[in-house]
Amino acid sequence: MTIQDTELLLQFRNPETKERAFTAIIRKYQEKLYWHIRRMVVEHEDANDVLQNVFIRVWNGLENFREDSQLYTWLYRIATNECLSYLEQQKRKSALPLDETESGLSNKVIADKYFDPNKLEWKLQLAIQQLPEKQRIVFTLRYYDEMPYEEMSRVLDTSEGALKASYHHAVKKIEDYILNH
Amino acid sequence: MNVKNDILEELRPVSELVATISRETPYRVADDYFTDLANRVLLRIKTQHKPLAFNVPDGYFEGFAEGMLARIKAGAGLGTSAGSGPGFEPMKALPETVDQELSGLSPLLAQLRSKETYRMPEGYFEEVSPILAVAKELNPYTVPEEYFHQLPVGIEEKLEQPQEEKKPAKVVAFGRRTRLWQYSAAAVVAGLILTIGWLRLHVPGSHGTSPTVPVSLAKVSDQDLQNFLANTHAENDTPVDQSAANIAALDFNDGDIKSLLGEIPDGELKQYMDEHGGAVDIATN
Repeated sequence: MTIQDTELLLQFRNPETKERAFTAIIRKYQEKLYWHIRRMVVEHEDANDVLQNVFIRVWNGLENFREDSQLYTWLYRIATNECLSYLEQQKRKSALPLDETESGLSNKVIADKYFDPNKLEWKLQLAIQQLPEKQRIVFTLRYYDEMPYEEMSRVLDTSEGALKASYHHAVKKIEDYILNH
Repeated sequence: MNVKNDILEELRPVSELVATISRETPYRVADDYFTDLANRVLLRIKTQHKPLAFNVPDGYFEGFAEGMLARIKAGAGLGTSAGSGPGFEPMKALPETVDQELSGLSPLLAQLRSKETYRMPEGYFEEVSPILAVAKELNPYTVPEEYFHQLPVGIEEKLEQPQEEKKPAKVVAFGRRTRLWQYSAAAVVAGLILTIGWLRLHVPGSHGTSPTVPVSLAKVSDQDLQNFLANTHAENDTPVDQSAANIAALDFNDGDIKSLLGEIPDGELKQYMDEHGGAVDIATN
């Protein structure tokens, strides 16, 4: 854990400096968490809701944080779980089968104001939405957030070997999708 | 977002194509979104921990119970402030009678209420039934003297007394009826078992069940037995029974035995006697 995070945690446990420390934590991790969430739920409004829920959970649970892992790992874990819960809720609300829910996410990508089907980075986003949930998380955490497998295994409770295999499969599927679309 | 070469180097052997794609996320977010995010989250957290929207005056519930009891003990103390406590306000008095209430709402209706619309001819009850005319004025039920006078006092006394512990109501088990059914069912089953067992074990003519049969047979004459067997033979047509009847029907006498044994050589008969000694009186040729 970085010294700065330890210092922030100490400040958070002091009622007088609690809010100031919390604000600092938000400012430090807000963008990373936002983009992690945004890539998972696609729409900004959804990402905003999920991100705020994540920080509310952090506020409620940070005093009990045991510090046996890095704060950033813990935050990513909360964010990932919150994303999965949100997507699960969406599935239940729409009562659509799993594959149709994934195509629902693709539709959200297409509905983005800046969507350009000719640009490769947008095709990549469409390809990511075709992936199974777990592979999607692994790919975005590795490809965009450059998270080491060791950290990722703590976030996702999965072995490093399984994560490497998931990442490999995900890359291959994305390549196939881009070549065929 | 910084692009680090090690991720791309790792990706290149897996997919050259994916490694060439820009890692810039194409999604966009409002420029000032992150500026105020921390304050918005904190505001939301504070809103969630905000106390309830409805408030009661401080100390409202202190003395509330006592105030209510005092009001009840005061009898028809509606509209009076018998209670105590900071928030204990007197309830609005209800009208004492229906007439008063109606007068407040509509004086016209209150006036009309006293006037009976329907009338009956004078002396109607006397004409229909003199008994009814008299009975109309009589009430067969009575109350103890001074009952209504003492009623409010009695209720107040009861309110002042500490509440006695109520005896728990007697619980009548539904199982009683069920038990009768259970006993009946058990009796029927036991009876069936005994009947079937007796029928299976007490086969007529089996050993031990009819010890008197040989004794009784000794008293029956040969002629009767012969007649019985002849009849049985006529009724039974199974081969086993038929042969048994035939054997039983043979009437052997000494002459027959002699003629039967006459054809057997003496040597063989002697040998038979030597092997099966005891039959001393068997006649020989």
